[in-house]
Amino acid sequence: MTERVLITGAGMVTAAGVGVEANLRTLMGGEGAAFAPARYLHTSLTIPVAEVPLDNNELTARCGLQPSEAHSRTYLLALLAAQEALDSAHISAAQAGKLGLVAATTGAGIEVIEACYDTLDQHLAAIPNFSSSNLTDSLARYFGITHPVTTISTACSSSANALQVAARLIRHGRASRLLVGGMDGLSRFSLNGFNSIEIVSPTGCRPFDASHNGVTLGEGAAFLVLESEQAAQERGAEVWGELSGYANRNEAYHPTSSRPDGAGAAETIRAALAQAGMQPDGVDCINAHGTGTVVNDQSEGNAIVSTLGSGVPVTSTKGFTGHTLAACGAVEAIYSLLSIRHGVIFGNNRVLQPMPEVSLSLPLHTYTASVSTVLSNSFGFGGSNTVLIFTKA
Amino acid sequence: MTQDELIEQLKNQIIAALSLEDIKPEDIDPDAPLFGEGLGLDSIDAIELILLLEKNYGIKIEDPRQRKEVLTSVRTMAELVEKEGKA
Amino acid sequence: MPAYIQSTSMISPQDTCGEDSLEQPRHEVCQHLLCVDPDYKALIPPARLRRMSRILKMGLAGSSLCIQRSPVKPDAVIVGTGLSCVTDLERFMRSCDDEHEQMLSPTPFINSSHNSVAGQIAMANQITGYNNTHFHGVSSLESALVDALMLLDEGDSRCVLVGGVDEYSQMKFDVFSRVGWWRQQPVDNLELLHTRGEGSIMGEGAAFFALSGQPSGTDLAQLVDVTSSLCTDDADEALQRICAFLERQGIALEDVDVIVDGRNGDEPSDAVYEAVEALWDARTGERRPDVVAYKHLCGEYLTASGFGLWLSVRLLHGQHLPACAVVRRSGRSQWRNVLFYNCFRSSVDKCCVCNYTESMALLREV
Repeated sequence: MTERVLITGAGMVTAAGVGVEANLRTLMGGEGAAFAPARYLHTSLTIPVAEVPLDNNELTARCGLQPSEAHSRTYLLALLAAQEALDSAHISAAQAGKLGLVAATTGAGIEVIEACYDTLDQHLAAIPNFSSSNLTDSLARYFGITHPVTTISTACSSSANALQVAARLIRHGRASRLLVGGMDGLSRFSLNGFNSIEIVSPTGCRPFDASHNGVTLGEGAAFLVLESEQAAQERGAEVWGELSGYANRNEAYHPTSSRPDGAGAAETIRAALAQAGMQPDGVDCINAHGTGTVVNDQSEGNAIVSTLGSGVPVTSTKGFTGHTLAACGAVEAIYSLLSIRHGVIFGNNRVLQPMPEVSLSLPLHTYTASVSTVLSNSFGFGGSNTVLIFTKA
Repeated sequence: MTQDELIEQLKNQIIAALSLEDIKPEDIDPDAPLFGEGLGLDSIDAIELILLLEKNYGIKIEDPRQRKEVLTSVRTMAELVEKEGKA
Repeated sequence: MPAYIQSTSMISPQDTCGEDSLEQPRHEVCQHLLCVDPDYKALIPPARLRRMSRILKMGLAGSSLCIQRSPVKPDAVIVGTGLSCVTDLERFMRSCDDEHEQMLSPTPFINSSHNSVAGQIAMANQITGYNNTHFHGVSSLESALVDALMLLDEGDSRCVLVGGVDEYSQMKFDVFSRVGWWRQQPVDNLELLHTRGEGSIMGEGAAFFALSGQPSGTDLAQLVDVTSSLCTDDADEALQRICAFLERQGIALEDVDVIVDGRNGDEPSDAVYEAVEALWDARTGERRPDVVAYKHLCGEYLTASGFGLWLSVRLLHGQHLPACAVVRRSGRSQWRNVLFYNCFRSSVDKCCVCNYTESMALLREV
């Protein structure tokens, strides 16, 4: 039960860059992805999105695959990120057999399905995308991963929950080394869905800014390698940090909206701190869920102030990446670890004038600081609030 | 169309749009508040009602304050439809 | 650490919601079976019911029955679902096309979030603890159960409500028909396991289990452990895996009183179960176990394991094997250990729709 859960590798693809280094450069530089109408997604909507700047042919080539309808954009993004994570952890193909896989997705390849569900006879290769486990199974097959393997889908907290389940599998001795992450390519389904509930920003998201008016949907994939301390030591792995606390709680309030007072999120923050055996003042900075909707930003702001106070720096990196849905928990886990590794606190690149409703410490520019503990929030539809705590190992 | 006829039409459209299967038009008081007490509607229903006005009457309302006023009761919805000349 | 099963509920193509019905099982000549609907209006407040698709109704009603029957109120919810709210997903996808991405009704989008069953259960019952959804094809429910066992062990919950839910949809039937999951000709479900052919019949269902880490005194059975991994078609290896799983729980093949297996009428897959059980018999001689099957009663679906596990609990608690589920009897009069053993192989799938997995669970009399 007291087994430590260490992170020994990471890989990612977002609108802010292909690869961890490229993402770090973007966040250090302070310029986020350009929010613009979709170039690669087939849609008549012109609201700005944050796409990974590669088309499917380029992604396929980067993955070293032959073009096939079987490969959703989500899968291609995931494969790139997962391969980078395994490479950075120095896990070879031969060692992959001892890996497990916990992956998260909300779309599960729907961008393929929505293009062909009425003409299936001409698109038989696309059929695997109708299975919920297809993306995870395909990654498992590709890397030779056998057990344990599962997929988590809890909307925008999906990959934070995947990290939590993975940590639990390690602590309970059901796995010693896991590839864990989230993936979602932009789809017409999600873009129209978010648009139908009127929470998409017409101008590009500005999390925590006075003019915040909605989310900007992004896309991406991010994977981390989690190991038990023993497994990491045995192979002399380089350690990025430790996943030292996690909690999920449900607001039981509304299908898509957060409690305005932030009580549900606050309870989750307290539970994660308790699980990590940590006091509120031990948190050096917060990677907020920070979607840019008025409801989220106020609710989350209230939750942070009531549990951790107004002084701790709060950053929403969704101003750099857009909202990557099932991937965002893993994307932001990697950003949290980069904060710790490089001693930096990232700026809120889209804040011009902090929102007046809640008093938060919102750095506008990235700066160097000693960071040993980062708390990362991920909140999803269905009232699913997840908080992860990363510490210097 | 008289206002009463319009109200009757709106009630039927509301019942269909919100799947209020067990509610008959006569159960809905045109002056009773739509939200909170009464029908027990929520913010998702509000979006559905705004959509109803847009789809059936071509009336688009963006301003949150105006939305709140219009969705006070079935009668306020009818009054807007009349005012916009879409009845 | 084992979990103690406080209560169960099962909405299925059999009349499993109310009084015992398996003595006179429902049957029809079909390619798919639909659930017998309970009185949803009695179980779900009308304000919530009106926006719900079938799977949400099944999930909400099933969870409500299970919670009512549990002496301990669950404080956490974990749902396993293989296809989730596919009907609403399809509805919203079609409306994007039909309405040219303009003025779309948000309700089917909101419902089609894959965690909406778990979220709605939390809202309806004000369960504010841990809430998760495993969305992993054939082993969705098994993954949810493993998560629950760990959560209870961690002490983050006193009682977890775990559910396995999936609904029938014409689109999914058609899609998976193309990869050979279903029989090409209608068949009487009670004859499914005795008529030659490839593929099974499609089903649906909602199974719920309230699991607690401590015995309450009125426990129905113990869930000792659950595991899942990639299928093997090699009977020797399959039996070795079963032995290893049982050994971890400190028991041997001889100690298993009954196998509840997942045969589904797909002849090549069923042949593997039979080969495994023949090897098992050779090892145990006269102490061979009874064998029970269930997919002819509920149809094949991604969380059909829920019906098998529900049947296992019912069998242990009632110490009774319903005749319609018996594959063979071995003369035992008492059942203490049940091995639930499920492989969804689909021998004819050329498309690699998913990685076919096998799962095992050990359940024990309290």
